[in-house]
Amino acid sequence: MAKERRIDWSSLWKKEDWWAFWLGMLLFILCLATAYGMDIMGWVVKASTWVDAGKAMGPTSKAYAYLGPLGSFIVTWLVLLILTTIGAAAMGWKRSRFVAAFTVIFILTWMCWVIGHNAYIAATDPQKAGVPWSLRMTGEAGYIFALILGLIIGNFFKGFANWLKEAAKPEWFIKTAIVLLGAVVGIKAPTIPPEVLYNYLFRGLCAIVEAYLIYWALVYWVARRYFGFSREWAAPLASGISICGVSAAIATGGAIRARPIVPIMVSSLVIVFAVVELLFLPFLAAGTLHAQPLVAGAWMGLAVKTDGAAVASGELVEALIIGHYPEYEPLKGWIVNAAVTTKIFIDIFIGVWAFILAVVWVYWIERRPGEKVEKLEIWYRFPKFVIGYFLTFFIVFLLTSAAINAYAASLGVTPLELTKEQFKASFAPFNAAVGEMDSFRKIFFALTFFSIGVISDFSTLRREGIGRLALVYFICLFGFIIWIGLLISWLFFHDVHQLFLR
Amino acid sequence: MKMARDEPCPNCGKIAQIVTEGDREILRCAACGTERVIVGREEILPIEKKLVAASLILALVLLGILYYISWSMIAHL
Repeated sequence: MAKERRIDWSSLWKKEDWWAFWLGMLLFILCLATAYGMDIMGWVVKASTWVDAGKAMGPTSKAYAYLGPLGSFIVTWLVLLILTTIGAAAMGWKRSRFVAAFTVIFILTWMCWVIGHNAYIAATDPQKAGVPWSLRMTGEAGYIFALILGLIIGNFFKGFANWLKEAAKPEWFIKTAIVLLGAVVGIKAPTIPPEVLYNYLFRGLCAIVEAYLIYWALVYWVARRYFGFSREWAAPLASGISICGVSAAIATGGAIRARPIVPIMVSSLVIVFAVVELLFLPFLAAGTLHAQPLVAGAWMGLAVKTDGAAVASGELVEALIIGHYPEYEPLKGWIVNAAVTTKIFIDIFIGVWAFILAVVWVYWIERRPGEKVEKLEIWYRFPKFVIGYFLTFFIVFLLTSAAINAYAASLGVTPLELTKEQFKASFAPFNAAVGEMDSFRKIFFALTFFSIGVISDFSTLRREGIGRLALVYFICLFGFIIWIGLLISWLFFHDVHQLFLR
Repeated sequence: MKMARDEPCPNCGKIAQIVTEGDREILRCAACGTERVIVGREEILPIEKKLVAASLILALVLLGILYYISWSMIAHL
């Protein structure tokens, strides 16, 4: 606990938390220029679902198509290498070792990411992708491959893993990705059609209550009371299972000052279990809830624990239900929307929750009898990258809303009177900018999972209790989280689809 | 009690000691005074119980209110 601490301004350039903020904001601002006609970051490499390996990757923006797949990959690597090396040097890491290790990590991670996008693995609609079957894991399978390769290196090639560790910095990478995630969520909020927004907005509040006040409390209690986990483990685990997986576990770890290994281990469980959910939950939902399609969609948003997997589950449910029951054709788009909206609401609240946890931990949990706690301690604990998350969220939200209003005004109509095409056109430049941010976000997410694998030594994980952690995760997720999610989705979404069928 | 290993303190970043006490591992930082159980059982504080209970009660109340408003809305549509 703090004792008469002074503000340490050097943390602005010496701490990983702040460097995630600076790096994320820099990339955000540079990408945002695209919305104003200056496409300076469109070269960022992006992987696509592929059958032909030649089309597996390429620049995000067509303006940089001349670079080709390899050119965009090299430019992306070079720019990220320069930016991260500046940060590494400021934080006092060994520069030459960082440069070499980052390069190897980047190449291996990208290989995994591209393999994960193979149509047989990733395509959620095999016919559309031109393959007879698919594991339907979405491109997020690349995260799993990155994690597995990292784990192999970390446990069977320990000398190599030690060499890589100078640049294997999962917390830095994931925090940078979360800053960019704010923008990705921010553009979705004003693009939800207004007639649905009001209805869904309301139901989004229910999702927040459910995830933060019911799931979190129950998982925390189960982990503490029945599995004997310490607070340091129980809180990030509760956030990981209940909220938005990886981002929430990392933010919680910062707020309660957990050791770095804690949110990292929770994150690796989140991504594995999200894929498990993705493989069976959409089929269960489509099979049993076809009479209540929006309940099925919302259930995916509440039960599946990573953004990508939740949206993919929503898409699968929609495709399965409308495919079997054509009478629900007017609901096309709305079922996914139910999943996306509930997930967005849960995501938005992460920063607020990190703040609440920091206050609870400072004033009640870790405060010793008679000890006076400085208010500044809350600031020290508050994960700084969350500020970046909120900034990017609100900037994109406000700019996109203003663009939609301005476009409508130029046509002499209100935003409500825009056609679907006009509505899309009104914020298309921002969509392009956020698309580039999203490409960077995915790269940082993939780098995170590879790095998690590299630094995860099984013997350490065993000592810390990864087996029991996985058991708690399994019991909570399949024991009550998905069923409470189903109950509440049912209570708040049943019969709402009638609105769209009238 | 015996010394197990050193690890950076999550609170101040200085090197802290991890000591084992029975089946528990405890992190102790001489620099900032942080002491916490990292492996093994840690006493559940009364405030933890209260916060968990308060959270669940608040959730039920809020969901009740939201449910009531929700159905009022749908009835009007």
